[in-house]
Amino acid sequence: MPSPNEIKKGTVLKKDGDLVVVVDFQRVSPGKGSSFVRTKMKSLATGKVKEENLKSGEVLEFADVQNKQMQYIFGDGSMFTFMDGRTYEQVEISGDIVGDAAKYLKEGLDVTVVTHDGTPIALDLPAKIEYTIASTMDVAKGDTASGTVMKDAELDNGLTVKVPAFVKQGEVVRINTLSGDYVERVN
Amino acid sequence: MLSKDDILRRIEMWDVTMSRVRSFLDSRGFVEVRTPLLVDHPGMEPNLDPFAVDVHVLGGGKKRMGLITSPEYSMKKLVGAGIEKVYTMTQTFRNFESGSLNIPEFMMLEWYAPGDYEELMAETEELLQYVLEDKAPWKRIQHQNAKMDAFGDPHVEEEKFFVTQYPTAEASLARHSKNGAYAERFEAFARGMEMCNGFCELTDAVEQRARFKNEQEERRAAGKEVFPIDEELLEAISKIKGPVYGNALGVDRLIMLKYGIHNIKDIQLFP
Repeated sequence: MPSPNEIKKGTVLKKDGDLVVVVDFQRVSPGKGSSFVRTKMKSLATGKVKEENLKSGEVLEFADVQNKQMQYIFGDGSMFTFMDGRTYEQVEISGDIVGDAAKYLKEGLDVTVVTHDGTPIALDLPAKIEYTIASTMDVAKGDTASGTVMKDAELDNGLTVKVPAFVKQGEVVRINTLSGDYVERVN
Repeated sequence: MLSKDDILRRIEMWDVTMSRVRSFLDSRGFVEVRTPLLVDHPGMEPNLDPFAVDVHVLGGGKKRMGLITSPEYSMKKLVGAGIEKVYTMTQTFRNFESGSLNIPEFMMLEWYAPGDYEELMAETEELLQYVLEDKAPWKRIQHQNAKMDAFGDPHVEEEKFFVTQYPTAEASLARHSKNGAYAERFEAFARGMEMCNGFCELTDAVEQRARFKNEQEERRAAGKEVFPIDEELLEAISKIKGPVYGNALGVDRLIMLKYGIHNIKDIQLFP
């Protein structure tokens, strides 16, 4: 039977008659007692995110879902369109399901669309996505010596993030899609 | 591989943080030590999974050893030998720990000094303020008011705080307060991360042996590898004179807090 040790980000579970998708997890061993997996799960019915702790021995029910690799084409905030690169089949997903992931989308991005009984229920972004810096202020040379000084930068999809002072316009950076943090500059 | 600028950025985070830890403790008269990573007794806690290895010994044969899950046993042996103010910053290893706040190999700061519960918490707060370069106080919330869940995590509307006065049932390696009302243990939490676990140390070797035996039984029952009791440690504990406190703090998380980073991999030089 599936156990909490097998879940990862994007795993869809059946819980209390609802489908929930794991949006974050930590495997932890507290000072006392058995180890457990601390999760953040999003209800696919209500969109609400709830923290839940699973003991390592707990038995889970995985939902019968299909994962499909698709490309993001365009969206208007309330509806987002994705395409299967091989069949050219297009799928529309509502903003409620896309949720916070919307700000990370950019044209041509490869994502995983999770479907249940043929209906899209969740969108799984890559853990890190590469973006080109559309605009950022150049920092005076003396200030770039420290890589831990951060500044604002606008990415090629319009999202604004904090990047280290050494990053310049036109360069490509990797952003963590769970936290929104800058990870690294792509060589 | 990371770009040179990114490597330098991460080097700076580690360098600044570790330097500030060292200058704080050195200025208070602590001595820094290195403790072994490969040991006969890698940790007894039932919930932890040490990396165990077979080590070839001179003259043939093998013995079972493991990578430390914390430097605690070595540090307590030094304390028992009479070394009064001592700290280490060392790699530690725990299998099956993963996620955005946990990795199997991480850096732990442990320090020990003669002193009482209030002194332990005051010193920890001053160290955190100095390293983080943030003078804001760390609020103290008693365990009974911290809405602790079954997994030992508090649920309060504070950014950073200490949970104090643990119930005696959760004393772990801490001694009980004089009136027996609580255990002299505290934990610091920040941004939802457990930062450290501090104790006024139990110095009763008889009680410690009983707790180790319990832990061995729990490991056996859980089907985990059982390591023998560290007799040298028990002897050292019996020699500790007067009240001593100790604190174990996750350095990776300290860096994440200082630089506003949310994934532990995003500060590693070799993620």
